[in-house]
Amino acid sequence: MDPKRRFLLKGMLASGAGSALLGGAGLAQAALDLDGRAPVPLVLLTACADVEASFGAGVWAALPRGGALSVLHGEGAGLLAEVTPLLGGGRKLRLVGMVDDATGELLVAQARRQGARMRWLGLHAADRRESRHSVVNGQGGQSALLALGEQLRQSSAGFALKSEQPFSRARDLSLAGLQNGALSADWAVHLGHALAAPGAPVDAAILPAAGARLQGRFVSFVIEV
Amino acid sequence: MSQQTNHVLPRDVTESDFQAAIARFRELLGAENVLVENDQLVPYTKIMMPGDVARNTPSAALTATSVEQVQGVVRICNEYGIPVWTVSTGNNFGYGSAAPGQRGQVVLDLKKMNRILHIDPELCTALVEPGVTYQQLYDYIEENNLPLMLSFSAPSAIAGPLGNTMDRGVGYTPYGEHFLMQCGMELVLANGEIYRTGMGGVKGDNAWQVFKWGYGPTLDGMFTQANYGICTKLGFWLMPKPPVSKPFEIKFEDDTDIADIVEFIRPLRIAQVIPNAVVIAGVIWEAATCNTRRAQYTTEPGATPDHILKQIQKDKNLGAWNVYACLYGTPEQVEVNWNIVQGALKQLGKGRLVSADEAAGTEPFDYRSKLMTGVPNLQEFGLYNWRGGGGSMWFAPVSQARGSECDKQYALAKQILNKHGLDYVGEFIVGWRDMHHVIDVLYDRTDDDERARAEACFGELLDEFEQRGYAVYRVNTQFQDRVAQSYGTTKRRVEHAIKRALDPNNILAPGKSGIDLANDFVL
Ligand SMILES: Cc1cc2nc3c(=O)[nH]c(=O)nc-3n(C[C@H](O)[C@H](O)[C@H](O)COP(=O)(O)OP(=O)(O)OC[C@H]3O[C@@H](n4cnc5c(N)ncnc54)[C@H](O)[C@@H]3O)c2cc1C
Repeated sequence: MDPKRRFLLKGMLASGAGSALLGGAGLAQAALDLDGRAPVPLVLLTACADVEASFGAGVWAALPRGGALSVLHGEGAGLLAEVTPLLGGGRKLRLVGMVDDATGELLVAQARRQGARMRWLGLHAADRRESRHSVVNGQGGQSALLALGEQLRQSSAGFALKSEQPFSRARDLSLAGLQNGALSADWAVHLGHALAAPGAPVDAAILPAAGARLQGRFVSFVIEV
Repeated sequence: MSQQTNHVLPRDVTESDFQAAIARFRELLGAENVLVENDQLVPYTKIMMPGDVARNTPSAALTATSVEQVQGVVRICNEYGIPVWTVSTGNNFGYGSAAPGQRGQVVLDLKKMNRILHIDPELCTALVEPGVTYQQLYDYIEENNLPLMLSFSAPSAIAGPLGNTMDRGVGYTPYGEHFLMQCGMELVLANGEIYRTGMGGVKGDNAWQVFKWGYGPTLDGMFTQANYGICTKLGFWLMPKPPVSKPFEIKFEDDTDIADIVEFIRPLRIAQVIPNAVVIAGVIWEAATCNTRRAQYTTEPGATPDHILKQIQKDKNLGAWNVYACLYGTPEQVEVNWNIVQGALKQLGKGRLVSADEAAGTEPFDYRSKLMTGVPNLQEFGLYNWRGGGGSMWFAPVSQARGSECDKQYALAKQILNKHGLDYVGEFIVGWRDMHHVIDVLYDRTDDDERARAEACFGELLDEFEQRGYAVYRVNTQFQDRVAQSYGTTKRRVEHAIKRALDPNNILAPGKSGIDLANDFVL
């Protein structure tokens, strides 16, 4: 790791510095995603029931009234076989999902093969002690980053959120909450919402609370063709 | 036309030169084949090494569809001093994936050059372009009912013979040493010329895929794991599909059995009684590939304690070491060899033989059988869910196929990995006389502390193994320069002299295997 490329800014979001993180252009871009384009069919990919109940619930909540969503469950080669024709089918599509590491690796490889765009790529680890989130930013991912950061800051659990920004001249960002303790899956609900509706304000009040905890290692993504 | 939205530039290239080169690439390839937007490039940054993503972030990615276009790319790169990192199917997981070796290099992705140019079912040869996958070949062979069998790396369904062979990868059939089975390459050199190895330079000759050596110096090997040319066609030999294949497994109870196992296998392997690249897989490898996750047993950080490994071994009906091998031939041949194997095992006095009938439908036996009989699959990706978190580096030292060597290597690797709080997730692949000891250094990239430990661990593995006279056969791009040092200065001087002669502008994959004219050691 290169310490020069990273600085730790605890409470950055809390202090309102989140706008610096997001940047005016980021907001504008995100809003364009939401308003400026014809709606693109959305496909939700989830690895397991816990992800479906948290991340998936966030995605559902982001749908406009009457909005449609296709859902694919599963992992590994099976899921890849379902996704491949979608990516290569020549139709506009946005795949939003959270899956296990192995499946995530296969999906990123497939996205490359199909020349798809990755608007978001995140790694997540959640256990009894804390959650950790490591994001590689594409364009338009900032609003989701902000939503995730905001939720984590408000939660009472320990977390580490890191955003590598390899394409920009900006330094990488690192936020941490030092509490220790019980962890809900609400971060995944917020993330699902933020990725499905980039730029839309995430209103915690309308989001379902995740019933169960979410533990494990996951890869989240938004892939567009 | 996509606009560049990233601020990444190739080393020592000005913004204006880079933009001029991009404009030329667009003219040559069409705008849709020149990727410069962040979102398009993110898939080229999914690395599994511990260094920051920024180290391996490309400035652009190009897709070419013909040899002429590859020649054109190389000419433009020469003009503007643009370094270009070539991938074929681009699935080099654990060795650098599809990311360039150095920040700012332009990735030349040859995935769209995916024609199977020729398969000869009588001579059992193939000639393919870089983007051909093993799955594509498999489907072709099945659809045309050809009596041929493939050998491939474990990510078989998505990986391809050209990229795998160029990186000197291995498979699990009798043709598992893939470079050994390579026969004829076509390369675009740094000056844009086309060079064919072996018989390929002789006009009208049709022996390119059957006779490797041609006349005079045989240079094929020089282009593998190297940066002297871009391979645009690869010929290789296919195994005739045997009438009978008999995959089997032998489970051994104890860690300490490894030396005896190797002594038992070696004579059978050298004499070709067991002709395939036999695998001796450790318990975590086995557990992970039958979908076991570490978190099902413990969520404590650090190395998984031995008592838990024993429990997993018991729960999942695994050996501490699990040997996978296969016999091929007519029923009579297979029966003779089967009797020899059973006799040798009896003499050894340990090991539980498991036949395909007993293990059918269970993992990991199923996917191992498929690997040994040429059926593509992706089951081995279960390794990435063992610990999770997206970190993986293959540590792959070579040794003699001797029990004592394997014993020594296993103990040393486990001790170093455990010291750094990581697990020994390893297997031995038995070559004709060598062992590829392949260890997946798995760690959680979301955990800064674990990432740092993994990096330190990999460095220590290289150092400690080198002190005992061992080196790896292949490595990820973060450690390629370090590994080049293990092989000595003279070798490096020769390699750099060749680089200077063939690619004076240093445009082809600088840094690959530690070869980079910007290196500061004196030639
Ligand atoms: C679970 C798992 C199991 C694995 N098992 C194996 C295994 O059994 N055996 C094995 O060998 N590997 C294995 N790997 C590692 C790797 O994924 C494979 O070797 C894979 O075949 C390499 O990717 P590829 O075939 O797509 O080649 P590519 O990624 O296209 O190429 C590999 C490298 O070769 C060079 N190269 C590619 N194309 C060219 C060209 N046209 N000209 C010049 N140089 C070129 C480049 O340096 C490139 O990075 C495994 C990985 C995973 C995740």
